Amino acid sequence: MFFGYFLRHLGQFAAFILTIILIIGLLYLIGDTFWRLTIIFAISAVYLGFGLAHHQEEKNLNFSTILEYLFIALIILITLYSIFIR
Amino acid sequence: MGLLAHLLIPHVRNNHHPHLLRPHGLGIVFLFLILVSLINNQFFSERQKVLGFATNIKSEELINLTNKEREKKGLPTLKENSILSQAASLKAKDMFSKNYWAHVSPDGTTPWEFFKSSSYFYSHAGENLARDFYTSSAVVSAWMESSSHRENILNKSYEEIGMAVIDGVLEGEETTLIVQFFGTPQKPLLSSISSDQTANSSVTGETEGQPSRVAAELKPTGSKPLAVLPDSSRDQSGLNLKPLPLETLTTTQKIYVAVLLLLLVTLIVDSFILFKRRINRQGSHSVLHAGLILLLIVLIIYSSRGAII
Repeated sequence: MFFGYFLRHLGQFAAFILTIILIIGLLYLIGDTFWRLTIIFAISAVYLGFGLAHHQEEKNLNFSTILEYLFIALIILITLYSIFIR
Repeated sequence: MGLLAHLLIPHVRNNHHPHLLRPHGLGIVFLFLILVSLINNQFFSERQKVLGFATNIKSEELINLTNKEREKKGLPTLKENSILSQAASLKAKDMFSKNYWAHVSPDGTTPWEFFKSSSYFYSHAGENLARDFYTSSAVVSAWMESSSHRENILNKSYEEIGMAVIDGVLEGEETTLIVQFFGTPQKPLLSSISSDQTANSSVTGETEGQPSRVAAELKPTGSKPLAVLPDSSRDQSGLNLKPLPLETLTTTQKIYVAVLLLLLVTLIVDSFILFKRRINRQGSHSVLHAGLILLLIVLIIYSSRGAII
């Protein structure tokens, strides 16, 4: 049961990360700084939103989990900003 | 050791939740990354930027690295010529103002026009271009990996070099353009002719035989100058996923990669131990975070590679 739970999540997460990779691909196609910033903020927001929605669905969302996703989203934001906004 | 385990490995004493992966640990990582960018950009970078990875490319460093590559092959070093550097600067500014990334501008202006407009009359000339790099060593490494750019750097006919490193907006994107001009001044036989006549003979030479965009050496006929451009089509096309030497990253990029690697390893170890011990911990999922952090590391490393033509 534990293994099945883990595998189900792995599939979901892999699909989610693939989606993020595709969105990041857009950053290479779009040179405009405004649109790049918009996409970077969107990726971070989507990551935060996905994490919160996932834990809400599992009924184990708490303040600590929200903060963990928030800080990871901020790390994603600052790193993508550093890479793509020159 | 106990403190490190407390910080990085899930076990009973930290309630199976390493402190680095708790909100305060992740918050410290985020603030540290911001601080690294701020300090490096304000105090150690050539170009002023508040956040992010600032480029640290210097003309002198590029010339030194180019000469080191020549020395390795037993070739004489190239002397920096300020007129050639001025011509390279004109070429970079032309690319920004006309918004193109090529050896020949959309209106047909060749690099050799910039040699002439700077009154540099050559018997041999060459050009290498680069953009979007962060360090000088990454630029020269990329040129050396490309056969046609390498041929330009190791061309024994050249005696002088000019460099321009200029920031601007190209094709809607902030970038740093690097123009490397090689040249050999015309020999005394020709320089004895008045400068006007010399200029005219150069113009005639090139209008009769326009330098091609590919690495074609124009056959010298009389005083006709020899002009060489690299041919990128001879290099491997498509996405270049060759492993990059980490020394091509800036200090800020190296620190980012190191911190994110620490986070990645902690997340993987955390996921592995929780899975192995069948612990269903409350909190965010380390596997998901690990996937994203890995993606960020790959992006930092491969984004440090710019483009050359």
